[in-house]
Amino acid sequence: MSAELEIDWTRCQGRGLCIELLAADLTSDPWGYPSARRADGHQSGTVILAEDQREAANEAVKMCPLSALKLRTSAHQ
Amino acid sequence: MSTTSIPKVHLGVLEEPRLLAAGPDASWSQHLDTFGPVPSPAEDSQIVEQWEASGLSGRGGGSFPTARKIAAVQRSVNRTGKAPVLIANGSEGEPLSYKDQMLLTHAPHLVLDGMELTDRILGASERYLVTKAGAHPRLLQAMSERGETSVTLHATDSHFLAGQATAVISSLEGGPSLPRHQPWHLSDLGLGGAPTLLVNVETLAHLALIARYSAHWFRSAGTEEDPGSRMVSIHDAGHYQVHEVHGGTNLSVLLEQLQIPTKDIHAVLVGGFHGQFTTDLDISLSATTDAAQYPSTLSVGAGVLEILRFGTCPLERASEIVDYLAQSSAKQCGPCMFGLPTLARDLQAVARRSTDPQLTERIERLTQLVSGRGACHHPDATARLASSALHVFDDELQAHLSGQCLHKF
Ligand SMILES: Cc1cc2nc3c(=O)[nH]c(=O)nc-3n(C[C@H](O)[C@H](O)[C@H](O)COP(=O)(O)O)c2cc1C
Ligand code: SF4
Ligand code: SF4
Repeated sequence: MSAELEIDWTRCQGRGLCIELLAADLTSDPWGYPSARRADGHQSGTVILAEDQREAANEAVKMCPLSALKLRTSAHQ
Repeated sequence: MSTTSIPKVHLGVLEEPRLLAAGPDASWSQHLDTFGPVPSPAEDSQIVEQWEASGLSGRGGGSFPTARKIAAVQRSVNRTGKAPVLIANGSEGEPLSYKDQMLLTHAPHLVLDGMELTDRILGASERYLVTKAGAHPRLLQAMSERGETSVTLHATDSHFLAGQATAVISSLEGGPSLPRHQPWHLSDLGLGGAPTLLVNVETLAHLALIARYSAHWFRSAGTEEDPGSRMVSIHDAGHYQVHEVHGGTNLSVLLEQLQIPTKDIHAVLVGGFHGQFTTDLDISLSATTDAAQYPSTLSVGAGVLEILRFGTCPLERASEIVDYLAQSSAKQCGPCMFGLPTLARDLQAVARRSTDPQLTERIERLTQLVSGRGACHHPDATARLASSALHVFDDELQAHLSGQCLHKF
């Protein structure tokens, strides 16, 4: 099981709030959009988070001004 | 139609056409004379079994197993009790692809048969056939010949992204034909929230043939890994041709058969603008995308091949294509909207023989940066094409980076 942050890229405007809240997993790309720190962190549209980031991720989901985020728990294949 | 098995060594073009067997511009009566009527409803459960056993994969580019898609819609219908929607995708947004247009012109009745059968088996409440507007007169004629009144024709835009599944749905719902953020499956939540089967028009035509002639017949063409046949659009020096070929065909065998001399060919772009380059022509063109398991295989996607002859600069061509793809971005998702133009600019610098030592590293980083970060696979596929150009044309790349060119003097 792992937590995945699903980003609606059509909504996200790269304001960067989630990057601050999830600094351990996310960094800003050259245009200000959230980007996974781990090289394999992106899985078509979602970002895989460290397990202990669940709470911070919930916070980010609530705080995103564009409601672009969702948290998913997924069993990996 | 013959069911004799074919020596599966080199494959190439189909010995006898299947999809186009009824001849050019086939009328309803020519169609019936060639193929006979669709099997009766009493055979529906066998038809589903034959579809399953055929191993048919989608011909719209993603190569997903079609029977599994149909089964997913069936499960969703059983679970929710909602009537499903059927969408035949003939948008053909890729500028180098002509096969769907060809099929809709010459074999519209096979596509409509495929719709009739999937519709009957799923109990669909709505059926849409989505194509460019230019295809409509021929389709209306075919529909009136067979007394078909339940299919709605829908005209889509002709840009690169218009045929992506969620862009088609958006267009049918009255929105722009642009991809949507859609993390769930269309089989669960598609058009207007209904379980939706969205398949390519060629896929439907194969379903119509398998229903008549069996999975065994279908598999008598192609290979174990890539059974059956597919339409390919081949571009060579400004000319294009469309052929029906064996699944898993060897590329050089196919080109020799078509009298495109392989000694003149520097490379081939396999899978169109969302594909990859290869200079090794001794490979098989297949539905598979598993490069690790099948190393001498390239995914043929929606069947587009572009020939790059010696004497033209492959890096220049790659740059043109990435430029086109960057301009095609729906500009909805940041990494795609900003990343692809940057990637295109850097690739153009490579094509123009810039000696900036950081260029390749920057391009590699950009390809990683855009991948997996959009509502659709456009950025991933664009990045893959760009990396494939740099890896396959490494000699040219090294020459360019020192201000030289291997192909022009
Ligand atoms: C950018 C993009 C463009 C696409 N364009 C087309 C298209 O023009 N026609 C098509 O059938 N599928 C297209 N597809 C694939 C569809 O999303 C979908 O997978 C396909 O129509 C399903 O049919 P199939 O299972 O028969 O392949 C495109 C996909 C992407 C990512
Ligand atoms: S908080 Fe929302 S809008 Fe801001 S960068 Fe994160 S996802 Fe994008
Ligand atoms: S990833 Fe690019 S092409 Fe796909 S929806 Fe987003 S902006 Fe459009």
